[in-house]
Amino acid sequence: MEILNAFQYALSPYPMLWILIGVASGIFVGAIPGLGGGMLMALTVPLTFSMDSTHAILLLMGMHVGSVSGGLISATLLKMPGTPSAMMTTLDGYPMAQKGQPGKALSLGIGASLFGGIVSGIFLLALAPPLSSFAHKFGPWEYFTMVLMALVLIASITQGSMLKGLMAATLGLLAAMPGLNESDGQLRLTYGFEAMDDGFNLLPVLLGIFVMSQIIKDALQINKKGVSVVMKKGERIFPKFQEWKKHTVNILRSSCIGTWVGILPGIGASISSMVSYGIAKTFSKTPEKFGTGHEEGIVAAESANNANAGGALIPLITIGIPGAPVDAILLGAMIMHQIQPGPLLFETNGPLVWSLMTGYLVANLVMFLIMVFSARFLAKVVTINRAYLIPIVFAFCLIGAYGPSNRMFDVWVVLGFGVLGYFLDRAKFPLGPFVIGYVLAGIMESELRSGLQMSEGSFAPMITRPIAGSFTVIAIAFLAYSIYQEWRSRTRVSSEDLSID
Amino acid sequence: MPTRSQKPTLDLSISGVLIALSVFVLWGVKEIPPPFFDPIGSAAFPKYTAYIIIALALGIALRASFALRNTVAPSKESFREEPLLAVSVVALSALYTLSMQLELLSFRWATIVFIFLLSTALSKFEKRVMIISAVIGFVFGFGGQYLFTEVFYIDLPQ
Repeated sequence: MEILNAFQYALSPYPMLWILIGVASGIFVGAIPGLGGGMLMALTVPLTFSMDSTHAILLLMGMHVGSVSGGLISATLLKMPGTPSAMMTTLDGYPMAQKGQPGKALSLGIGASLFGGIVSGIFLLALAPPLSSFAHKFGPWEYFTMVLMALVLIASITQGSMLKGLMAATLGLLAAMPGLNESDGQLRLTYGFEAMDDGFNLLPVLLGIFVMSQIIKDALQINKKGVSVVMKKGERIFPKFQEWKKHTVNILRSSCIGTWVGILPGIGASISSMVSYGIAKTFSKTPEKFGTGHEEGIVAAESANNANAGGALIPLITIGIPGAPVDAILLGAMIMHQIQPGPLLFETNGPLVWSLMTGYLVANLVMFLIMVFSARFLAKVVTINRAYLIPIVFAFCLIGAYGPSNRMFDVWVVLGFGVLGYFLDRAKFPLGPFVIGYVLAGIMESELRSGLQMSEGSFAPMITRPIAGSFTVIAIAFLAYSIYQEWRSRTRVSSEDLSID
Repeated sequence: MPTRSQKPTLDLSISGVLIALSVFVLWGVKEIPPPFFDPIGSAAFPKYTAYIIIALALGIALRASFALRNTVAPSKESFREEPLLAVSVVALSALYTLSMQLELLSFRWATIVFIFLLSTALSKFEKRVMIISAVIGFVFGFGGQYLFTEVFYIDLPQ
């Protein structure tokens, strides 16, 4: 019954309008290389303060869905993924467009995105309520070990060096430490600066890491331009039923992979599309065609990255842990609107959470229609001059950081974290674990301190309590496996060097 | 999973900065009073986080120093990078913020000047961009002031 009411609500004029605005702006921004969904969402959060909280969350969620899909357009027509999650689409989308079939490449991607979104939406509706009930059993030790496991998982699975992933997550934890500690009301690491009493607020940190660091990078790479493929007039973009039918297994498999990777805390859509692309290639009868404009490659990458968005909402709703770095913004927005994600969300904000889940499905349908009918127009937008965009984006950052608290200190925080984020990114430190570490630091510390109070200072419940023990074992196993992988990879590189010598 | 450091000098520099930052945190932790109602208190978390950062930074530095000895030539980008423009973005953004913090300019005028100057710099003084950015600056300066204060009820620096 709740689900039907939620669908009725999501399809009513106002929520529908916000979903439409969110998806359309997400697609628009996602299509422009150098801008992204995270950037758009972080800039929009301050504008939602005066809005109804359900409308605000639907708007932001629509932006997320739209931006993941919008990246497909520039990846296909410009060989530049509009969002990192569209990187794998570039491998086959652009070659197919070069062969004179840009419309077909887009239609395959749009159709796969819709199916990916719908499959993960069904998983979301089916899994979130029981998982939320299960999470009711969690006490402080379960929460602490779960956050610990999430951080190890993010740092290990993230692209590049595991050491750098762990460092980024730990730096995120450290960035959340200064200011008033909520556990005991103690001020710490303020160094006598009154402005530091509040610490580094969530929104300025997100704006710095997601937006400022990106515009510094955009300025550095201003000469980077894609090689544009022009679409012929009247070229078909609407996907054909026969094409969908041919790729049913691939779409279902990739959507399930995308959803599953999304459920794992903190892992973004880029990894989903990489994993499903790799698996699609393994199972393909024509693996040699991958990377040359192969239909299966586009379908696998696009269905997985859209499915990831739905999967990532599951841990966010049920346990309050963002499933992907971008979901940290959604988490932040919920907290700013006095909504605390977690096991109690279904009880405290039932209508909101059902609207969010059904709204996600509606957003995917809206995305499909907008993409099909506007892809031709968006193909022209992707080449917009970044010299116009960069100053406007920073002006938005200033408004977003200054507006909520009327403190210029927060604008300096944006600049500081922007520069930090830029250097970390340049040295290949992943920024996802940083954001997740920052967002989860508060829960991690308060739950550990509560747990230690209950156990009179003993850490034994980390092992002795069944759920907490399982999380601890998984965290240790992941860490050990990652260290082994890194060591094996190093020895392989060394032996290759020796053989070259 | 590529494990060889691609930019060992940058890795070494960042490790150095992070170790210095951790030492600074450890110095700040000394000011926090001991716990009075729970076993670990407010100092433990930042203290152990700083220790972990030092350990990880040493690991990264060690790996970078090995990579320095047999450096691989970095893959060439297909475009020319513009470090001066990246510095301009940070410098002009800082000046834009400072001009409002010191109450030298209101949001409206600071935004007009900022958008014009930064677009001009990013386009390397391309005349067409300069004209369009002046128009965008005026529209965003005046329109933005109205939109954010009157519609979204967000206070902006006056």
